[in-house]
Amino acid sequence: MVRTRNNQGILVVYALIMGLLYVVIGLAEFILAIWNWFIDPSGNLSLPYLPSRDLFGGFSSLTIGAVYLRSLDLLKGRNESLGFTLVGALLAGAYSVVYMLIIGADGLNAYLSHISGEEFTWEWLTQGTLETGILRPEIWLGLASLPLLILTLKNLESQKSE
Amino acid sequence: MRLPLAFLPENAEAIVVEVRGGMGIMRRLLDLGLTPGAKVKVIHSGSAGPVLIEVRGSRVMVGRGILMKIIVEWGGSP
Amino acid sequence: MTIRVALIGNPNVGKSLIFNNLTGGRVHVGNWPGKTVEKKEGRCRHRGEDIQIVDLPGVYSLTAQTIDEMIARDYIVKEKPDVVVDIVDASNLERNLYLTLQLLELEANVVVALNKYDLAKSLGFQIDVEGLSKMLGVRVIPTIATTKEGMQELLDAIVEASKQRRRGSTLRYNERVEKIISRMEQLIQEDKLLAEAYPTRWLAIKVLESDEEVLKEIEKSSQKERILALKESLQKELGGDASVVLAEARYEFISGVLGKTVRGAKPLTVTDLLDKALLDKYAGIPVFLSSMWLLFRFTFDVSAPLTSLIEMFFGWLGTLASASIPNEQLAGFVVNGLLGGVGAVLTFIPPIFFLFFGLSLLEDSGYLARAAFVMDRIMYRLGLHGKSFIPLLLGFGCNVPAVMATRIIESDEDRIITILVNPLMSCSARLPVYILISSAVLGSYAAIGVYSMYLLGIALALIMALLFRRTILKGKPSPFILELPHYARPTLRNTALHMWERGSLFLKKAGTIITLTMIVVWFLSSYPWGSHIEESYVGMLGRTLEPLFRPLGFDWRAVVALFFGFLAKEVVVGTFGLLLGAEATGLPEALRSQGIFTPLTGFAFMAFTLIYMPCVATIAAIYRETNSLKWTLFAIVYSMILAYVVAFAIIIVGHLLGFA
Repeated sequence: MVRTRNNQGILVVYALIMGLLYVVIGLAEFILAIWNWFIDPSGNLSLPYLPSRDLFGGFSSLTIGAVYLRSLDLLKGRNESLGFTLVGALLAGAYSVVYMLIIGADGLNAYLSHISGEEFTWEWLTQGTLETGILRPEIWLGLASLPLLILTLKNLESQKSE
Repeated sequence: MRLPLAFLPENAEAIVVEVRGGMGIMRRLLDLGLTPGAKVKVIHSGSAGPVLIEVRGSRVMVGRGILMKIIVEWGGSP
Repeated sequence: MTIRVALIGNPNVGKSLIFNNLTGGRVHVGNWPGKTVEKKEGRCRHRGEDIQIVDLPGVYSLTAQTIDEMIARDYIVKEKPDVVVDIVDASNLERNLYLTLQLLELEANVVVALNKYDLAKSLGFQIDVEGLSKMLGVRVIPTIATTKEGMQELLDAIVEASKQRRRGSTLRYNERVEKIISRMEQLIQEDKLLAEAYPTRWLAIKVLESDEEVLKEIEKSSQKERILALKESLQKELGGDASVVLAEARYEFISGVLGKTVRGAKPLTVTDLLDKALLDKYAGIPVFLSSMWLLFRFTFDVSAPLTSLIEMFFGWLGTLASASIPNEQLAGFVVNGLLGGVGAVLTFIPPIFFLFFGLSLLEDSGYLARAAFVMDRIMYRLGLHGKSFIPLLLGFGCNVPAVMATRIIESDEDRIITILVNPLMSCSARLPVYILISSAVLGSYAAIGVYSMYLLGIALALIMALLFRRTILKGKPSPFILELPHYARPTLRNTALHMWERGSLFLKKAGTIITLTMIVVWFLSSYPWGSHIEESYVGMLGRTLEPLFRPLGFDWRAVVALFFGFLAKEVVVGTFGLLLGAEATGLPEALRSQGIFTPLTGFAFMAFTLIYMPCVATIAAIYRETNSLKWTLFAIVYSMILAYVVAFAIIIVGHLLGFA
C-alpha cells in the first residue's frame, strides 16, 4: 500500500511538470499561429525553436498538457484518473513518433530533389515541414513521456494485485 | 423509485423494469440485454448527447431519446 | 465434397482476423448481391477436405433489423452452410452468447470459437470450456486470433462437425416460455410445406416475436388464420410482449450457463481508465481533434516523398518513352495519355495506404467507436453522424481517401450524405488555384480570400447536409445504439492486412476509371493533331460554352482551365500557364495584365473552383463507395448547379456592393 502511494507521488509530480511544459509550449505555438494567420499575415512573429504557423499542432500540445494536468485528480484519491496520464503519454508519444517520421520524409524529399539535380542541403533537419525540424520540443517531450507511461501501467498493475 | 434511465446520474446503478417504444428500437435494446431485471450502470452522462451505459458486461452508447423509453428502479435520488 | 463454412460473430470479436488466419489471405472480396455491404470469401484445405469460408457481416443479433443482420440471417436460412462458426469474445460472454442462442434456435450446425481467450484469462475469468460445450450442446474451441492459437483445433472441429449434422434444437428455455413455443410449434407443423422449409421451433419463436420476414412467410401458409389467432391468444396469456419475454428467457438461460462455467470478476481495467479520459466531458473533444490532426499529418506529410518518388518515376518513364517512340502522335498518347493516367492513379496510393493504416490502427484499438460517441453531440445537430467528422476532416487533405473513409459509417443514408458533401471540403489541390487567383487580383486581401474559401466550403457542406437530410435522404441520423469494444493492442500484421485490403480495392475499381478519363481528355486536348490548345476540341468546347459562363464574368480561357481542373483541380493553374504562355512565377502578373479577372470575378472563379464537379479521382471513389451510378451522377450535377448558383450570387451581391 505504501509502495503504491510513493509510486503515485512520483507519477503526479512527473505529470504536473510535463503538463506545465506542454501547456506553455502549446499555448505559445497556438498564439503565434493565430497572430501570423489572422492578425498580421504580412509580418512574421516568431520565437526560437517554435513553429510560427502550426495552429493545430499548438492546439494538440495544449491538449496534451491539459490532459496531463487533469490527472492531478489522483491526489483526491480518484484512481481512475490514471487514465489521463495514460492518454496524455500515449498521445505525446504518438506525436513524437509522427513528427520524427515527418522529418524523415523531409529528408527523403531533400534526397529526391538532390538526385533530380538540386543542391543538397541539411535544411530539412532543422527547418522543413515542422518549421523547426528536430529542434521541435514536442519530439523530445514525447520521448520524455515514456517513463510516465511505464509508471502508469505499473501503478495499474499494482492496483490489480491488491 | 421508478424513472427513465436517461435521468440517472453518472455512476448510478439500477434495475430495468420496462422497455417501451416502437418495435424496432425495443428489439434492439432487448438484443443488447436491456431486458426487465437486467442491471445497468451509467458510466458516462453529459448534459446532452448519447449516454454510455454498462449492461451485461458490455459498454453500450445509447442516444438520450432512447433512454427515455427505458424505465428503471433505482435506490438513490437524483 | 467441399465443406461450406460461414463465419459469424459480434463486431470486434476478431472475426476478420480469424478469417484471414484460416484462409491465409487468399480472399475474394465482392459485394453481397444488391448491397453495398462487402462479402469476403476464401478457401483452405484441412485433413484432405476442401473448405470454403464465407465471412458474414458482424452482427449482435439475428432479428433482421439492419442490412447486416438481414444478410447474415438470409445466408444461414437459405444457403444452409454445412457449418456455422460462431466467434465469441471470451471476455464478454454474456452479450456474445445471445447470438449463439439465436443460431442454435435456427438449428445451424454451430461450432463456437472462444476467441480472445488470453484476454479473458488476464482479466481474471476462468472458463470451463468442457462444461460450456456440454450445456450448449456444441463444440467449443478456445482461440487467440492474434497469435493464431487454436486455428488447427478449430479446423478439426469444423471437419468433424460437418460429418455429423445436428437435427432439431436441444435448447430449452424456462417452462413458461417452452409451453407457449411448443403450442405454436405444433400448429405450424400442420403446414407441411412450411415445416419442410424452415426449422419449426424457430418459426414458432419468430412468429411470437412478430418477426416481419417470418410473418410474410406465414401469410402464404394454409394455416395462416389459425397461427395468427393463436399468436394473439398466447400474447394475451403472457400479458405482455412476447419478444420481451423471449429475450428475458435467453438471457436467463445465458446467466444459468455462465453461473456454472465461468468464475471471476473483472477488476479496474485499462478499458475503464482509457474511457475515463477519452470520453471525458472536457478532454474528450480536444483529445479527439488532436488525434485527428495527428492522423492528418501522418496521411499527407509522411507520405509526401513517396508520392514525389512515383511522380519522378513516371516523369522518367515519360522522357524515356518520348525519346524512344519515333511517331509523335503515338509518343504523345503514351506519355500524356497512358502514363499520365496510370501515374495519376498511382500518386494516390501513398496517402490512401497511409490513411488506411492510421484508420485501421484507430479502429482496431477500439478508439474509433469512442470518437463517434464524442463527436455525436455536435454532428447530430448538423444532421450528420458522429463518425462523419473523420471523412470530412480528411477532405482537407484529399477527397479521395476521405470518401473512402466513409466506410466506417454504418447506415447508408448517413454515408451517402457524408460522401455528397465531402468534395466541399477544400482539398490541398485547390490551394494553388486560390493562391494564384487571389494574389493576381485581390491585392492585400489575398490571404483573407484564401481563408474565406475554406470557410465557404465548410458552411456549404453543413447547409447541404441539412438540406439533403430534410429532402432526399429523410429521417434523423440513425438512432444511436452502439456497443463499445474493449480496447485492444492492434497488431502490425492485422493493421497492414486491413490497409492492403482497402487500398488495393481503390486501385482496382477507381484506377480504371481514372486512367480511361485521362486518355479521353488527352485526346480532346491534342486533336486536331498539331493545333495549339486554342484550336483543339477543348478550345472549341470552351468557346461554345463561353456564353453560358458570361453572366459569371468568365471568358473561354477560364472555361478551358475549369475543364482541365476536372482531372485534378491544381491543373487549373497549369492550364492558365499554357493559355497565357507564362511561367509559374509570372502567372499572376499575366492574369492581371490580360484582364481575365476583376477582383469580383476572380473571387467568383475561386468559389466556382471550390464547388464545381469533384475531380475524376474523387468521382471514381464516389462511384466505388456508393456502388451506384445514380448517386455518382447526382454528386456531379448538384455540385455543378451549386457552383453556378454560388458564383452568380457572389457576382450579384458584389455588384450591389459596388464592385465591378
